[in-house]
Amino acid sequence: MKTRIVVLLSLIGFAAFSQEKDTTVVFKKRVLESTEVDFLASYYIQNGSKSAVSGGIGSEKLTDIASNIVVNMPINDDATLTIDLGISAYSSASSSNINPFNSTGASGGGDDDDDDDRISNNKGAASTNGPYGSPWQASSGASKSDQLTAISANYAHSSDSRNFIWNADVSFSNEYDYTSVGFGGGIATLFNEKNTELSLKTNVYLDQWRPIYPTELHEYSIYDSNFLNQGYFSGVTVLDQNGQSTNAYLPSSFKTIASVDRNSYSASVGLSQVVSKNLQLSIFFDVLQQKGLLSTPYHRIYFADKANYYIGQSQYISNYESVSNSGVFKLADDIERLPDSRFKLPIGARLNYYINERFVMRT
Amino acid sequence: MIQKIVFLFLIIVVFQSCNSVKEYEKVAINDPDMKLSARTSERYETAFQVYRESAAGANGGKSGGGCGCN
Repeated sequence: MKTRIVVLLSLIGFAAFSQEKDTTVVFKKRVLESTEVDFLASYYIQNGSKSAVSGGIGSEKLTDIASNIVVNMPINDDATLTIDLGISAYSSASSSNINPFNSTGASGGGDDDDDDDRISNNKGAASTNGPYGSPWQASSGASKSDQLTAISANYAHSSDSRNFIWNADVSFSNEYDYTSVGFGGGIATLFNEKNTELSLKTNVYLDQWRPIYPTELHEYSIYDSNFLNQGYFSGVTVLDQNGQSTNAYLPSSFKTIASVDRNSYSASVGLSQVVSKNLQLSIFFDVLQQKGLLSTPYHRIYFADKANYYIGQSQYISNYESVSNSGVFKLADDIERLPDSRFKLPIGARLNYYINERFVMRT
Repeated sequence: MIQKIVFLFLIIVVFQSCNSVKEYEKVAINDPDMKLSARTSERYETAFQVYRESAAGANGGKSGGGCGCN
């Protein structure tokens, strides 16, 4: 009897050992079923009268055309790769006045890209002696337009339960005077039956300027105190506030920028909550630190306690700040200078409410 | 700063008391227009606000850096 029990028990043990593992495959929905491609385009125009390139006076007319291609592709059941490539081209009256004295542009009597024909008509009666410009007209110099090319790649991986997602991204962008390299990552966790999501993202951008300075300051940096007799200013008449010729213009405050890096570090926390079947909201909280060259090197500054000097036609000095000024440009005392660090704490929120099939309220 | 952190903590606690919506009840929540992030086409609108107003951050998207703007 004992022998039979022992044999029976051993057979159960073998039977248990010989059982195969459960190979039933649990269905796991792919994070992304198929590749998605988005084509985006934008046309933006603006105008204004407070151009920073001209020290707060002048046309802010700008046209920007941008396009992006976003490709989101599944790598496997759990991961996706998103590539975003964009190109943006702008034409700006403001940035053209980094050098407002180009002889082939508005300052030389030719047509400009400004649609304001009142200014064009005035140019017909203007003197053509020497270079001249105006903060209210676009110059045809090289700085009047530029192109920005940007590309980024983001890899995201979800857990089997789809309750935990981590991602990593890299980015690169370039324009004539600025290059940016960025990288970062984030995690997101869903709980409470996926009704609550907590996310954390960090990003670092290591950027670099290739500074372009206003023409008059650039010449001063090359030729020092004798710059009015050399280079661009050779043979050019500088006027004082009364329209008289002068050699007193000396932007001694100006120094070229030694450190051209701009680095940005950010951390973002987001909390999303499904409140009801039709309502959900989220709150975002960022911590952002920027260090380096935070000002824009071609923004002109005019000091109130310094005399004004001009290049162009003296008859327009009295109405310099009016759009009827088509022939004189004020020379800068210095460029914009800001502290080399900035700390920001932006907070944002969104609330979306589903009213019906036709209307959704979004904030 | 401390007040902001306390406020955020209270928000988290309050949200825990919300009724849990089942997955099969999220037909409206899962509508593409209900997504809690900016629409893809809205990126350009945000970009010009960054250039003009330096209003970068707290929009669920890119924060800081990447352009020659403030």
